[in-house]
Amino acid sequence: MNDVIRPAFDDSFDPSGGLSSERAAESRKAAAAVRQWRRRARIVRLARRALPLSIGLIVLLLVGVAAMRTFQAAQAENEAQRASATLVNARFYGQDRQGRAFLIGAATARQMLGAVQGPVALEQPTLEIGRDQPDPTRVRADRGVYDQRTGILTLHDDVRINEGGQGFEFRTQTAVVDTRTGVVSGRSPVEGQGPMGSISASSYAIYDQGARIVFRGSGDNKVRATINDP
Amino acid sequence: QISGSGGPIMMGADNLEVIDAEGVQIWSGRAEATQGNNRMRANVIRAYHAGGGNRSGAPGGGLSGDIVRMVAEGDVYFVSRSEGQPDQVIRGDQAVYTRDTDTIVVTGQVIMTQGENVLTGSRLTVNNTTGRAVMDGAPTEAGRRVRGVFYPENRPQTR
Repeated sequence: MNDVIRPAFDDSFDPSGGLSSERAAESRKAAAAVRQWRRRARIVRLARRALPLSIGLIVLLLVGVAAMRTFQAAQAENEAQRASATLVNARFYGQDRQGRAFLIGAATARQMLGAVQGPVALEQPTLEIGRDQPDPTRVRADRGVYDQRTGILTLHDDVRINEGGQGFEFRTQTAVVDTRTGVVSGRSPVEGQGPMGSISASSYAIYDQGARIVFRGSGDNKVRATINDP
Repeated sequence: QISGSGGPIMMGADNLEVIDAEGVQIWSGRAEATQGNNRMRANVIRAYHAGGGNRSGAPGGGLSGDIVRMVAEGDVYFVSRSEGQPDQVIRGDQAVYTRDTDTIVVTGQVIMTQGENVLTGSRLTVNNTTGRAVMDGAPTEAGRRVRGVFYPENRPQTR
């Protein structure tokens, strides 16, 4: 005998067995509520599984992107390293148009391969202007770039210009040296200290190895000097 | 220096040009020089150093040595302050200070005021060391004349 056990609230079963229509309506309402509850329960179950999975996926994605970027950066650096030559204790000798010798030195000089006359990145660069003169001028900085084609040496970060003659030292943040003319100039504030006194200005330019120097103020920031009374 | 008391000289201007061969600093644009109680202002102030030009050409040469002569040009305004005295103000077109003689010579339309007293002329020579001042006359119809207005101090009558 094949007994079919029907659940208590099957749609097709009419428990009322002929009860009044009001009770039939109530039971249909109850059945609908149950169906809604079941649907919601399924959604909640689904969400409980889907949300942690999506969080995991997102985390994996982020880690993956970070790792890829790191790898690409390393690749690029290696590429740059492979594509450039690094000289240690580099020395560049030259002469300006007036025949005055200059020497550019650096702890390291890195040049892109294939760009023979291209810019050279310098670490701890030094410059001597007028090496063949009794009082050459010495300039040094933390970093610099020397462009052999234009002859321009750009220095930045803690630039110090020691003028040989009177023991005056200028300190500034940037300096641009045109090695063809020997002009040293800078557009950032400059401070100078020497036996004679001190000076400060907003920008400066040193011509003919110090034979002529121009300091400029800007607005209310005048050029200021204190000259010690001998 | 511009003051008998000496001491460091503070200079300021919009621009400064140092020419080593001539041993000169050219301060231009609202130029001013201050020393002790004295202050000088002008459009341009040229400060000449001892031994100008004997250097080898390294930068900063013109910034060394000590000032032997100062020339101020254009709207020269010189204020001298001394204890217990009203400020002495001198205006002119040009002023030259010479260290060896410690004198300042102001020329052009010279006006010297101290308190309410006024003295005008064409050339004023002030010796910092002795404090002696000589004013030369300005050209007028009646010849070169010095003009002055002095207000006697009203001292209370003692009985």
